[in-house]
Amino acid sequence: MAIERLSLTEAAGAIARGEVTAVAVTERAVARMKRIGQVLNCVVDLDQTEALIAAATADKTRAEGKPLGLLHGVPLAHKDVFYRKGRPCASGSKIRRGFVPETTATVLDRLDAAGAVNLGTLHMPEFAMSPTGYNEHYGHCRNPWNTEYVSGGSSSGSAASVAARLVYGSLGSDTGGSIRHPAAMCGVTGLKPTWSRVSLAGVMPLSWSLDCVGPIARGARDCARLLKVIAGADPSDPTATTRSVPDYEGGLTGDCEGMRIAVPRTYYYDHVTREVKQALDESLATLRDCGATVVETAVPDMALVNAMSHLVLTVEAATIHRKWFAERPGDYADQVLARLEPGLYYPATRYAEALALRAKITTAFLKAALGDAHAIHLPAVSIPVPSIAETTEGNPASIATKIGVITHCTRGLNYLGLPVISVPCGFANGLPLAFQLVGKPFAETTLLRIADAFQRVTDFHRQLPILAQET
Amino acid sequence: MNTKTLGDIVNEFQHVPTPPERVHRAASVVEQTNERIVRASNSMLAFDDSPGDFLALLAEGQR
Repeated sequence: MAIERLSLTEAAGAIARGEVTAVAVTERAVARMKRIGQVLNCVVDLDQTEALIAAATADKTRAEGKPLGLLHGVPLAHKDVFYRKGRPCASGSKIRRGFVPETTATVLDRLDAAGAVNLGTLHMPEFAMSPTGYNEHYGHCRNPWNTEYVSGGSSSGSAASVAARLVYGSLGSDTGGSIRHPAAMCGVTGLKPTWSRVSLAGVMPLSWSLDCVGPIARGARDCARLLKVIAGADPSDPTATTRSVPDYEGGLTGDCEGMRIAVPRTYYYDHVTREVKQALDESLATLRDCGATVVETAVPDMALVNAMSHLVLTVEAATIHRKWFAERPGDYADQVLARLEPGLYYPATRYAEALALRAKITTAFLKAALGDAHAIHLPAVSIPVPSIAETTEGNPASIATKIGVITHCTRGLNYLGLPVISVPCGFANGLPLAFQLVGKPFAETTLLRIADAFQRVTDFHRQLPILAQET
Repeated sequence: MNTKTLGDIVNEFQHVPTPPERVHRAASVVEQTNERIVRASNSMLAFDDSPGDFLALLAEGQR
């Protein structure tokens, strides 16, 4: 099998056993990033020389019989939102073009310590403000399954690169669906952990109360490996929980025996199309075959949850951006200004109310939507992947409506702080479809177990776009 | 609230020069969201509720 077709955990195992060298794997990844990355516009910066030096060092370490990390010699690249000391980090913006951080994000330090080889940085929309991969300054990221279609965003380059087999995994960030949209649209697996599970130190902020860092990879097992490496307490981020980090891979039992999966039929199915509904129904049937029991539930006032999420995001983002709004408004895309500027107008009391009510609203959601189940099964995106033209051409109102439909099933969940995984479950028009699983706080092990069981009997996450089948 | 008042908030209070068309664009979103959260606060917010309650909920974890 071509080495790029291995999963992250398979590649790490092959390198550890000496079946393939880190240099060979990295050379292959570099070549694919250059060739396919250009077609997808998914690569911002390729650190070829440093990556090959790191890979050679990894091979030497193995040859010397020294202990190997969980990601020893595995090439990865990440959304351009993570700081690496001395390397530019524009976060998809014109404003931060030329910004060179003086520190490295804790999550990148942890990947380095686990032996990962850093290949560089990947495409994202301006300041993570698009669910489609739209970027007025640097161009669209393109979907590997059909380059006329959106990749999803804002971790657009991460999902496109994993789907096209350029890298074995990638970190993204998620403030309203930014790990889950692109993972769903590109046919890979994306995990937004519980808020506070992963350190945000050295990550460009969008909204401190909602931002989450998480993995995008081919399957649940790969996500489990990456989460194990990046999660945990961090003196540089006091909001990161001190709760111990479970053995996520050890929890992958391969079945769903005893699992109860809740399906709220209201709100989340408002915009679901026939093709998406069919894929969701088939995924539920598969989960039943894996041993799960499916129960119907309801949801509380989701318009309120979405309003809270919007308010917290825009107020915190406007706080971060206010000085630049005043001094450099022309350096923002108008779409970005339109989405962030409302945060300048809300009274401080509204913001405080949104935070003070967060526990009550989250509890109400869990009671109604989860009940006594272990996970909630939801659509990831209600509609088949739209084309780039559908999300950029025509009148602004119809584009805004389309964008609203794309985020319908994801955006409120960040206000609730809950863990969510996006899992591929089908195709429509040749482009991927996915479901989400939502759990109680810190129920990542449960979500990964269910997703992994599903992926042991399906192959949606293993299928390759034609463009990725190039040798 | 009229857009002139909202324009004063953003231009005078926030010190962000903003043309009327952008104030108008934000107003439709802001007024709707504000009203929804005011109604929720009136019916749900108790004297002792605080942002710390959410951290306590997370600390409870999966219990």
